[in-house]
Amino acid sequence: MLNEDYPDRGNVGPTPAMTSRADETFLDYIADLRSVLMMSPAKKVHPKANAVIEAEGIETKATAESVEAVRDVVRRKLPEAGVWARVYRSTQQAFWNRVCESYGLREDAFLRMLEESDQSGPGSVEWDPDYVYPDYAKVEIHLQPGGYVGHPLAGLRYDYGTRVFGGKVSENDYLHKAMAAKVPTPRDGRVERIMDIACSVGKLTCALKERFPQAEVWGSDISAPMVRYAHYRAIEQGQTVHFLQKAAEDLDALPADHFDLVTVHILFHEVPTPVVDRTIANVYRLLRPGGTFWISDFPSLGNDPHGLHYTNLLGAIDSADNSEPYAPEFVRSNVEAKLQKAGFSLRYENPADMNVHGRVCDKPMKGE
Amino acid sequence: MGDRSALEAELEYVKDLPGFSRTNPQFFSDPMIDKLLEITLLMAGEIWTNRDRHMVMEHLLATEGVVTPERIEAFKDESFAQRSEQQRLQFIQRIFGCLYGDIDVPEDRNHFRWLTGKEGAQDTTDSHSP
Ligand SMILES: C[S@@+](CC[C@H](N)C(=O)[O-])C[C@H]1O[C@@H](n2cnc3c(N)ncnc32)[C@H](O)[C@@H]1O
Repeated sequence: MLNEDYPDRGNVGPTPAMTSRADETFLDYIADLRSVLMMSPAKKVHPKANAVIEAEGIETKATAESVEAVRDVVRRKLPEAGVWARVYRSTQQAFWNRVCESYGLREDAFLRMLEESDQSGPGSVEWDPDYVYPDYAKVEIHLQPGGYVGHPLAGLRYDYGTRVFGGKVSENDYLHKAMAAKVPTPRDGRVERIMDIACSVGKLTCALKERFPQAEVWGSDISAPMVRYAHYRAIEQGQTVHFLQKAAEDLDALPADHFDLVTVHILFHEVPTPVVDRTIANVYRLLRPGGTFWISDFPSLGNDPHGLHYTNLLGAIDSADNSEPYAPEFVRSNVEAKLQKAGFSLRYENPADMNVHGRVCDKPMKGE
Repeated sequence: MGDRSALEAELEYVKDLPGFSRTNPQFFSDPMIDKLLEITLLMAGEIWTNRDRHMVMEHLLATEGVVTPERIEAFKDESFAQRSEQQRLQFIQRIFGCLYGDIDVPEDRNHFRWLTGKEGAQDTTDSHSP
């Protein structure tokens, strides 16, 4: 991406590099800081903190009072949990700030880049410059400045931000490629049309196209900045994928019985329950009989037999102080029961299956 | 969609959820500790960044005999990057190792794993498909 004030540092895979080496180096440091001071210690700090929180009789609920009660115990009794929470919060803010600042130096050039790719192929993107976003979708989830919908470069920022957030597994889209390789197919094996809902920057969408090169592959997302950037990224990879700005709850605008496979990776814990419910109904309608729905998300009440993991310290601090306002209600809902109520038959679910939290559902064949 | 307004009415409650708006949390008894810890985390990052630039300059001088800002910006070298990564992890351990007292902090660079909260949870990539 050229801008005469800055030397072109090229791309990291399909992702434009940071504007300067200093920004890239700082962000590598932040990623490692999070590994060493946040991910690893969590294994020991969380159980200890949770025992104290429970002993204090604090019930973790999605209220400001409950969250503040958890923070209060942390302040009084749990300095190590305080370190964990502070490292989490400060590094989260730091990496977003640096990513936004660095790309921001070349903002005009990136906006031109998106305008150009809007008009280019392979593949396509469809979005509405006048779209009015619902308030629930404007939350700055994970503290990303402007959230998913509030800044035209939200997709670009999210792409680099998740490199820091995800650490090693994000490199070369490793995680998404590994997921795509394992996405189940309909029992009759027919995969001609695929829809990846809440596709964000289209990593899974492109990986699915790579696995099913003959299929027509679509990615949809509520956010125009996401689908526009996803299209840019797909072009960089030479993938013919179609992107569509559409809220999951509005997918009833698409034809019924149309897709063989629908995927949704980590949307459900990021939207309120009524949106999850409408999405499930829409997917049932979109799939042809015998089609398959694959959902990857946090464990929830229905498939977390060993007890809810997203509670106590993690539940309170992640939901409130990392802006995941809808995650608590998702984990307490029974998604498996909802899927069955909608008409799906549950082929497989495995709560221990990291990142997949595999829920594989089939829409019954006619007469089944 | 037709029921947009019905949905909006159902979603009135979300404005009160923790995390709907950005918080400004305090995790230590004295809020200045929060600030000082943040400052040290960021400052060490700036020190590391400077150090990286020195290392790149030395490398370029030794191998090419000249250094220009453009050359530094374009510099990429796999074995340099691997060495630098090891040094960065040591740098972090050396400065911040004391923070958790006697908790030994093993290295786990799969940043998704911890979200499951389950010991022994499988990584996506080694779990078998249905
Ligand atoms: C965590 S990201 C999804 C990650 C993506 N599936 C992947 O595998 O990389 C959440 C995405 O959901 C989108 N989103 C939020 N609310 C939505 C809705 N109601 N309908 C569709 N997409 C939505 C956001 O714009 C964001 O891109």
